[in-house]
Amino acid sequence: MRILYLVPPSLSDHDAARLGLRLSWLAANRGASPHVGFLSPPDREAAWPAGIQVHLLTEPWELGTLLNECPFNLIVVVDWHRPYLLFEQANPPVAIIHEMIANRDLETVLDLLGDPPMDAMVIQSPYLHSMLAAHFNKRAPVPVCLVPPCVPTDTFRPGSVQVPAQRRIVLWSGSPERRGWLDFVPLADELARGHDDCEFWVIGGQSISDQAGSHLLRQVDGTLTLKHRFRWIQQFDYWRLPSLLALVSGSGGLVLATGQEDSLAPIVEALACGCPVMAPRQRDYEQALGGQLAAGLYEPDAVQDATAVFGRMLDERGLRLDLAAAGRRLVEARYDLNMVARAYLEFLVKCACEPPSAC
Amino acid sequence: MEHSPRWARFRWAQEEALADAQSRLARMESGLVSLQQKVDALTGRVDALTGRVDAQAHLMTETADRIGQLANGLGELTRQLDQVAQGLHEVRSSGPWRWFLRLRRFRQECLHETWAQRRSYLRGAAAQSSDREPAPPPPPVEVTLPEASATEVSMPAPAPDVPFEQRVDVPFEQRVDAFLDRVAGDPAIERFVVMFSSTVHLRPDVGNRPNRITETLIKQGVPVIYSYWRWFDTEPIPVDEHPLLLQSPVDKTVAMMERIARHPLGGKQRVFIASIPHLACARWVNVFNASGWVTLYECRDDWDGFYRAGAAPWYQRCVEGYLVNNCDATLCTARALQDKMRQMGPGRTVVLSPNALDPGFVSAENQGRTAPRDGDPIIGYFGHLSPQWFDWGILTEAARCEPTWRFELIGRDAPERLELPPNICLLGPRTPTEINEIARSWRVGLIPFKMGPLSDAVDPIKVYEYLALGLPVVSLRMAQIAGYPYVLQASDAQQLTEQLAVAMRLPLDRQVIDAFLESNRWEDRVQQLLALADASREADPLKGVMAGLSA
Repeated sequence: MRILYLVPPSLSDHDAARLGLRLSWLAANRGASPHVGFLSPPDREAAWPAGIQVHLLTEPWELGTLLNECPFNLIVVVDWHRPYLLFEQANPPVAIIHEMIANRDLETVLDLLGDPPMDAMVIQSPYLHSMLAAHFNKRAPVPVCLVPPCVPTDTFRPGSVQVPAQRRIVLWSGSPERRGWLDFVPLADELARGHDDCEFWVIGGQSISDQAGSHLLRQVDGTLTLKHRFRWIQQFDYWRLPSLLALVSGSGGLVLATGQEDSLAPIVEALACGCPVMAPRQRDYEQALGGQLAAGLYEPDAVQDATAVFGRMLDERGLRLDLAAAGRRLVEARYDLNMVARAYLEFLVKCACEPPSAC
Repeated sequence: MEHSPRWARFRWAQEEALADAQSRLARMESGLVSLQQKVDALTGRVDALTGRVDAQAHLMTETADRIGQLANGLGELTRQLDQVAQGLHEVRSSGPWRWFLRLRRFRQECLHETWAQRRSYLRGAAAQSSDREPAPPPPPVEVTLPEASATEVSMPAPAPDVPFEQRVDVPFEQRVDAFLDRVAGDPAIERFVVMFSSTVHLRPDVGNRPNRITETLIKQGVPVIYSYWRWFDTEPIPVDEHPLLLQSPVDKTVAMMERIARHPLGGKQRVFIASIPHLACARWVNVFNASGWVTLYECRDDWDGFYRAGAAPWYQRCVEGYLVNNCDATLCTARALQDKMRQMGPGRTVVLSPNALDPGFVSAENQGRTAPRDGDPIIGYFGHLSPQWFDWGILTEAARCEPTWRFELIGRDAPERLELPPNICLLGPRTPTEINEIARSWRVGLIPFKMGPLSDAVDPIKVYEYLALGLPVVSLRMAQIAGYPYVLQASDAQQLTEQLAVAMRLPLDRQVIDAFLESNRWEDRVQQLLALADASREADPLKGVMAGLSA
């Protein structure tokens, strides 16, 4: 089965790596042949896994030529809308799936769904699923498949990194958007006040403008405690994340998610590596962090509650060990790459072989 | 009237049917309202989509127009390019050019000069060195630096018979890749440095700190990517004929930061030096750290003071603070800067690393000499004469008080319409050779910089050069150099004349000067810098991620 993924040039390296994981699984396990197409040169170099063909289709007719020369069974449009303009001319005779890997441009997607140019949708988040259901009065106009974020549990696993760190690392791994930082910096500053031994690290944000970058640094500089204990790592190799997360958990730190974060992927990756996670009790977090892991939830906008949860998670070693074990179990049960990709493949096969309405 | 049971059933049935019809009518009315609402909503959406379609159509029309204009412009550029190519061909096929190539080859093959010697030779046109930012760059010109001799470096020199114009055609990114790969593959190279500077590209007439550090690193066999400032991306990039040097304009450097940071460079020690608190350095410093690099911030000016004086509008205090807190170490050229950086980054490694002397500045005739202690009272100065720095008021007043003294000023950027007393002589810009010659008659070197927080944070390179010429120094108040040997300070015109009078008769011991200069050469600063880099290895938890991964 040939599948063409049309991806936006602004796809972050982490999102590209996560997508690449699934495509690699498809290519390796079921003989599918995933192709990746860019309609304009990608903003940054991404290393796609072996077995995936990458096409740069900078001219509109190149897409038509590719579709004619290499008949695909499916086209998956990832997180952008420009391809639909071309489809009006090329009119590919295959099912088209729209895959949202983040909740960005939700309004545009809802607009598109008013007269859907796609035959089905893939989304990652139960929260988005419920939003679509609410918007379309319980039934979206196209079939929707929920494919949660996933990790290879053999690579993303608890480990230890020997480091000369005297401080505990609190890591914020999320979508690099200014609005998220607006939420993160004051909260981290508040949490830092009671814990002199903590450093706060943010990873991601290479694509943001210099103006937004300056804004972040100004905001940090304006805090009382954070400015001497803050690090922004705007670009971090995805495949070194397990090592970084091992450093975080090994130093006694945790991963902090803020209320502006839309993707569960960073949380899943942290849990897979046995890293405790702290998040506001809202959106997907509440659904994902159930059972024991709910100890990491705090009431949104309740700083005292957040501070109490933060202190407890940092200081109670027994609780941290329990959370690490529970997180790992959760990932193995619900977010393992093999399991998620298998269900994903079934959906793709169904879309390729049967009328889209039956998906 | 009694109704029959049949009539009653009929009426009941009629009433039933009527109620049913009324109920259906009510449902239909309700449905109609709902449908009307949906129609309204759809109409609104259609309107919105129509508006967007119109906007897209307008945009497409504009884009098509723009493409047409660009196509015309491209045609014109192509025509001009053809003309330039034709002209180039004519030049290359001309007799003088062929003679020039022969001469160049003769020099390369026969003269066997070292790179440093030839650079020193080229510096014949050099102006006075200074640690201040240079004047705005001159019109862009291609600069060709001489090649290193085979004994100085372990890397193969470029083929001498390849004219540099041909290598300019190689895309810059490929040149960077080739440079990095070459460094990675050379077992004799142990370290590699990226110098992110704010000054112009390496030129013989610019001798500020990042330039001097870069030159010294190269002399010691350390390859350097030297990032320099350019205002427009159309300015040509210098072709570096020294195999250990690659000069990169700031826009290209920023675009290639990721590629540079991630290059393993064969496991060699990699050092990133931010010589300016530029936002790009802040954005990338932790990517360098996470990739195992040593990161240093070089604080060589009171940027905050410049910003407040309106001279550095690009400066952001938060960026500088972030660099101090995230680099492995900070080097400061003055104690005032060191104190300030320590406040910005409590607990961080902040060391003093003043400016220094380039021993090549002093001519052979002036080696080991001291200034005359009698004879004509001549006081000298070389450096910038711009009124932003140079205190013309105090100097003029002092000169008027002592009309028998002669003040010789070498340099550029003197303000126009100066009303100077006759004993102040402007000699204009001079080469180091000429300065060495002229300074033989001086009895004192002068540094009349305006006093204030900015000058308190300055360690002028010229103080080392005055001392190397055997001159005692009189400056207006400047905190950093207060303890240097044979340096006297004044706060006003009267004190200035008094101190000059003392300095002209001050007995000089050359051994004292030499002992001071012995530990204040650029080699010493580079040694300090590299020792810091060694001490910083893997002290950072972020670098531990790298180590953990490799383990």
